[in-house]
Amino acid sequence: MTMFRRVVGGIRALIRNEHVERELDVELREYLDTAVERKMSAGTSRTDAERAARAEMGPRRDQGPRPRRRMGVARRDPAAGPALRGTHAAPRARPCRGRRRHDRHRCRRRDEHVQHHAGPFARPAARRRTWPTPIVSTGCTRCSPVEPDDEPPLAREHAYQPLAPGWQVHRRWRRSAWKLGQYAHEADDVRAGRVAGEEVARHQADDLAPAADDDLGGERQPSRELSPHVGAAHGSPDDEGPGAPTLTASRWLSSLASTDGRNIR
Amino acid sequence: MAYLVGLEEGPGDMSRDEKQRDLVQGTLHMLILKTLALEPMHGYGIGIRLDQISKGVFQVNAGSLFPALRRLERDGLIAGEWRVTKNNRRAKYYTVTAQGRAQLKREARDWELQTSAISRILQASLGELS
Repeated sequence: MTMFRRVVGGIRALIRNEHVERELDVELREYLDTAVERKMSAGTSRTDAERAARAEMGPRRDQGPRPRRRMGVARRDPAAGPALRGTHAAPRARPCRGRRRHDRHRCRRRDEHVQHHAGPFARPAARRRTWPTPIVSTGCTRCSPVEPDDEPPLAREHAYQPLAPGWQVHRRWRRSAWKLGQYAHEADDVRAGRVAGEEVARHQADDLAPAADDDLGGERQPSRELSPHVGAAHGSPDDEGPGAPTLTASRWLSSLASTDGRNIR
Repeated sequence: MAYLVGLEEGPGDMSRDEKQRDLVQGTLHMLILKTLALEPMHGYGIGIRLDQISKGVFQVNAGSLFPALRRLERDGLIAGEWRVTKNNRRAKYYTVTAQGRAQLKREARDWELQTSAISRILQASLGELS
């Protein structure tokens, strides 16, 4: 009997909750309409009155955190793991709707457009293989620009993620992420070349130094004597810091040699 | 809902935005009961009336007002009834029940006690204590 009462009470509570929710919806709608009418009677236009009334009502209940994936494009979220990060942000205000008329060649966010046109159930967006450039204005009337402050650039360690194999993006199939006998971090990755270059430099720094000194006009100095000229602030050539692009290859090799434990005095 | 009251400034010489203050926590129910004790009213009217009586200091938005009305109705302190307004709109008019009036009386008495105690503390000087 007690069990029966509990079941009946639960069903009754469910029905009552639904009723209360429905009533609350009607009340809120009436509240909004009344507020709009009142503002319109004070001389405000309908649009402004609605906007003001909604602002006065406070946030909507269904306004939660923005969904991470929209239109099939992964949002760039620094707090998320690398797998969830896309190169481009998801479209904000006006996603592309046209397939034919859109000028893809003028738009710098081409991969994202391909994703737009593919629809909501499309594959994840392609990752770019070059350094991501800050996108302020695309010059495209169909996309909303991404503000650099709003969307921070992709972290360097996540910019060269191996690509998922076998996914078709924009009429071509991606190559597999890595081949047999190849380490994952070396796949289609400029950093892999850099790693190899570092290895060569470590073993051959003393041999390469005289030629490098000739290039610089030095008198057959060993490379480690040039090392004070190349400080830690210079970094590697693919750094984007100030002054880094002016570093010549020989100086860079010298700096690598100086960082090796054997060559430090 | 976070509530605080600005005790220092009077509402006289401030602009409307500066005047707006949040309510002291737990006082919204009392204010609604008091407003409804004057006359039966719908949700929008309660918000407007609170704004008018407080001279713009308290502005209760719908996100706070309607949950409070729900709670009061659930506790049996107010009763709602759907009627047609002057503008031919349907609205739920709320009235205070007998239980609500008793509750309002208790809360008003407690509030008087608390505010008088707080004002005594704020006006206290070292000379009075010795």
